[in-house]
Amino acid sequence: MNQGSSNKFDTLERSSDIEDRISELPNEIICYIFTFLNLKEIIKTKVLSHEWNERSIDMSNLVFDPTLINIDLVDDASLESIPLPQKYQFIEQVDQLLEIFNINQSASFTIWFPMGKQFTSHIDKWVNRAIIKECEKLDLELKFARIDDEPYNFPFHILLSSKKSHLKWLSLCECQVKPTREVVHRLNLLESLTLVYVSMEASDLEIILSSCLNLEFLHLIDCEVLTLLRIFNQDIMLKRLFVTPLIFVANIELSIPSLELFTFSGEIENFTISRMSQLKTVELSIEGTYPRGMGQLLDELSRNAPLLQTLFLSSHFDEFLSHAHNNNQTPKFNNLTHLELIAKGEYGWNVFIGILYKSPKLEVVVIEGYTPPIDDEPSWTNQQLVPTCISSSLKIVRFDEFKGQDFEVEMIEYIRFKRLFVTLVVFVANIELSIPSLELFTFDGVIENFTFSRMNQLKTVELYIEGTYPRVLFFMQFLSHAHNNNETPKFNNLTHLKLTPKGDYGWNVFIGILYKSPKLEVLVIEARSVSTRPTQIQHGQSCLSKCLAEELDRLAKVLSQENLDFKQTRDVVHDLTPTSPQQAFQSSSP
Amino acid sequence: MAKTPEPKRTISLKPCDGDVIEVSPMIAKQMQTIQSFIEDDSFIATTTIIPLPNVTAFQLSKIIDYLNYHSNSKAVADNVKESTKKFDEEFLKELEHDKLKELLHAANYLNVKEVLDFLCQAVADLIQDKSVKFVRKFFGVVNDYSVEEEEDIRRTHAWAFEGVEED
Repeated sequence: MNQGSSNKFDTLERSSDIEDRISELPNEIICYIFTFLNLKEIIKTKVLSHEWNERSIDMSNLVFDPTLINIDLVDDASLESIPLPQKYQFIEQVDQLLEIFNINQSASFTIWFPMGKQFTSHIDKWVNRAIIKECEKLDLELKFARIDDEPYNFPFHILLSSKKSHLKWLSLCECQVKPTREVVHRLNLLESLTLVYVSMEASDLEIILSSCLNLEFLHLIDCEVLTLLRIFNQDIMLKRLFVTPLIFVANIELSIPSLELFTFSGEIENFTISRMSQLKTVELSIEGTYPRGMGQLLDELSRNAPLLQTLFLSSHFDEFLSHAHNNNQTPKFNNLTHLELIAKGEYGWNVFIGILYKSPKLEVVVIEGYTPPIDDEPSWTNQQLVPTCISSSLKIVRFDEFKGQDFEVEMIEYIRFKRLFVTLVVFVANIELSIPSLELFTFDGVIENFTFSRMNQLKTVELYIEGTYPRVLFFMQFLSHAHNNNETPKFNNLTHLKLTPKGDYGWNVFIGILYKSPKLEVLVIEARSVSTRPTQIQHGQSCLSKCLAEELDRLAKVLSQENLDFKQTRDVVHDLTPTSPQQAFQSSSP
Repeated sequence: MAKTPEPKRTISLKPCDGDVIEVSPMIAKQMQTIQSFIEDDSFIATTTIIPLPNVTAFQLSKIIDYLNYHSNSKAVADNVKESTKKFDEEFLKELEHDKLKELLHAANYLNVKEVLDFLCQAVADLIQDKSVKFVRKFFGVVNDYSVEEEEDIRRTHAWAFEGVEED
């Protein structure tokens, strides 16, 4: 231990009496600590002492990325143009580290570096190593390799000569895949395959699918093969299929009885499915217009995916859905309970109504960015037949980008759903609601004016108002009335209040609401801005005032003040504000 | 709470240097080593005292403290993050000198993942972005290299030391 007595570093440790607090930990714990550190930090520990240098480092997750040559991962530009000498430096680094680390069984092995065909021998060697070490996860993330090189060819031949593959998870980015039937079955443990910007033929995919019968998850992103994707295979176990094509035309024909989830994003010319008896979730983001028409697509889905429960549909609807209302002539989504629609184009409203008619069991609807109904279409409220789901199963409707236009309000009034979520993304000038059946109302956004009327069933209101609610005049009036109990309406049934005030007059408003709420039982205040005040109060009964008539149409006006920028009313309100909470309570006690 | 009238609902753990400590089954369950005891057929909750010859009373109570706090804090909604962070910091502050190491041993022996993860992350944080000199001093690792040997190792793994400031 003392061989380095002349060492200048040594004196420092010697002078401290601290016993070594880390080196004697069992190696398994040290290696576990290493899992929280990046490769660089792990290597740095080798300089601590001989013991650390000779330590065997067992790794379960190996990630070789550009940080090995001190290139920032976030900076795509520098990744695109890594000069050749640095690429060789990376290779050297990986080789050196592979000498140092032991790879555990079932480990995960990731190469994330732009390397193409010219580095084939090196990458082959690493893949071989991963397979020999019985890795379960292999990720070749060769992004940007194609900028200055041909793509690397995934070494299927290694599978023949090497040990049996334990790979369950394979991800290839910017590689070339040329499988042959004799070899691919060696990958038969594979459960998940992700291909990103991979050059392959449709027949290659067919070979993989027919050989890897345990494959449950297939993710195809930007793959050229997708100009035509035909999967007709009754034997495979595929459960989830994600497709994002690179080329704009895609012709997809699927017949996979085991499939449970299908996601597609891109332009598509033809989408045909058959015998999808397990398909429960479909997400389609169709860029541009679907040439065969939305009606055809919806019929295809409802006819061939009878168990479909969840449908996300984002598209440009330029075609009138003519048979939408002919209930008995088109197939139905008999199990659809959840629909999310992002409708662009003139016929968005029309298609939405059409799907409502097709889906008798719909429970949840989310609509975003739709357009007003067209003139020649009968207005929603004039429909003779109300869609079955509206009168029976529909529970939650959520509008994103609610614009408060006439037809939207019209529909809200018409639909007798019990719960209405309005999540607002854009600025809204005015919301006026009159829905006697509504029980819950949620709002998040910027608002100029709220008006409620006849909200007899409304029990819960959540308002997250960004910025200031502009009707300050009313607010001043409200506050000045705060202690004059008999002149303003009360929350006669309010038992639970949670307040997050910003601005100077949060406390003032809080006291005001207390006066208005004779039956309040639970009170939670989150008030960072009201620093000198108590932040959390729980009351059994804060009956601060006597009872008064309730006007529900005032509810929105009152509650919406919680986020007011109270500065505007400072002068007026100041005199009215109790100087301390104690005073407030005293003045109100009978 | 419990509907069936059981005479005793806690698990008795006997550390090597103190009295028996009773813990709730919920907490005991998180210690894999204890859990395997409990699952054993010969285990009778009323009478069996589980001996823990490798764990001191201090270590055991620290681990129980941590598990108790973290299982309770999950139920409370507001301000969890801040108070949890504060608790974690205080928890580490009390682990001076070699107590951290011994607690790691104990957590590893009892196989309680939540505490093991927390402590390993804490050690990793102490190493991350620190100079070799700092780590040596902090953990009391004695440098047994000669100047030449150390220089040699640093040269071999030069990339790992790029951009690291020696203090």
